[in-house]
Amino acid sequence: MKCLCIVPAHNEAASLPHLLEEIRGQGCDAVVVDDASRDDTATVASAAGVPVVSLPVNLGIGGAVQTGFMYALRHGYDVVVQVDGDGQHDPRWLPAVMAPIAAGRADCVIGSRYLPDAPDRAYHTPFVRRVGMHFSTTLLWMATGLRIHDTTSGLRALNRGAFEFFARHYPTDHPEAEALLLLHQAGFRILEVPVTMRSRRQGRSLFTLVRSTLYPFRVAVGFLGLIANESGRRDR
Amino acid sequence: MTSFSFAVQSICLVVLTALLVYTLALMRTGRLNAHVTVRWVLAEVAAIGAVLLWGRLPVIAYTSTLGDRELLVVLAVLFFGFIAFLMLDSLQRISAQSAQVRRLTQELALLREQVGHSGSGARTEVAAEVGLPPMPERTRPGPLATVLIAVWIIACVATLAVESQDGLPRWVMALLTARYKQ
Repeated sequence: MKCLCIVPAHNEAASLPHLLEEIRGQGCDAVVVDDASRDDTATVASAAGVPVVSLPVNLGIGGAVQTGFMYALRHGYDVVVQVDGDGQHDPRWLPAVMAPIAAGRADCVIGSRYLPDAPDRAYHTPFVRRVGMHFSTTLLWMATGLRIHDTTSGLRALNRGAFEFFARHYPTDHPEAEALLLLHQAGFRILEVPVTMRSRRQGRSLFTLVRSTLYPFRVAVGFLGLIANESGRRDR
Repeated sequence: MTSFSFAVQSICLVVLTALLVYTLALMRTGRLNAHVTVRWVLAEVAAIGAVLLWGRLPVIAYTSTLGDRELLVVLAVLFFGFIAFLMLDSLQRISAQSAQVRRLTQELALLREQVGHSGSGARTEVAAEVGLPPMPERTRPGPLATVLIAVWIIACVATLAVESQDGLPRWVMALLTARYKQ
């Protein structure tokens, strides 16, 4: 099974060398999608011997990840894993998130911090972000009946069918929760596996206080659009 | 019509004509796309026509029999609807073009990677190739803007609270509530 780790990165020059080394240690290919960084992200990734797709303008996490899906599609990969460039996702969990896909049990596997059976107690989630995440979890459950405990986790593995779908349709801004609804609507199977995450090593999170506060509204509007779009398609 | 509504009509005409001239100037200097401009020009001409035919239009003719305050409220609502419609129309175009720009950016980045042009400085290289100044990062409101917005909201809430308890001086109340309170 040909596997690719998609590493979206925006000003992550400091975190990348170690992360890329760890990914290589797991026997996976990697591609860095440099989202118009102002630092040496692209140079550092190139120096590590990893292909770099450099976006000339900043597209945000959604646009960067989708570029990675397009890259994987054109290079004939079977499985992709999204690993954030800030080093929070530990590549030691790659086999765990890929296993259900290899076994044909799921089309998308989420590395989850909040599974009731095995929560990641060491990981500290800021309060505002936790509220936003509970909100999107509840909304997703109400819209689809799907119980996902970690809707904002960026550590995700996808089989070819799923990432081929995402190469065509993928939400922007903070796309994680909306992407799950899109997958569910398209009939893909979603599964969660327990993982632990590390604290950010360098740089700043994109989830500022303002963004965290606005996140629930952004998710609610995005969900509304997707649900309305689906019912419109069904009516037609 | 009352003389007050005639004054309002004149102001509306002047503002709309100025807006039309400005729109045409923007198009002439290439700052507005002709496809976008044609909608704005049509909308502005329609608005000027509506103001000119003031007395014959059902809603406005009705308001001319009302007091000044009602006329202003109806005008404000109509103006808001007009602006909201134009803004939504523009936002729809911006959304469509954002999706196109996103797809083109992705294709460009993938092609550059294919031919081995993916080193650092892609954003400035591409800008130089197409003859544009370096592309700025997406802007977000700075801390000062956030503070000003917060101060504005607090001031509005505080004014509302004080006003509801009749805590404001008489002259401020008169200023805030204008003529209809008399």
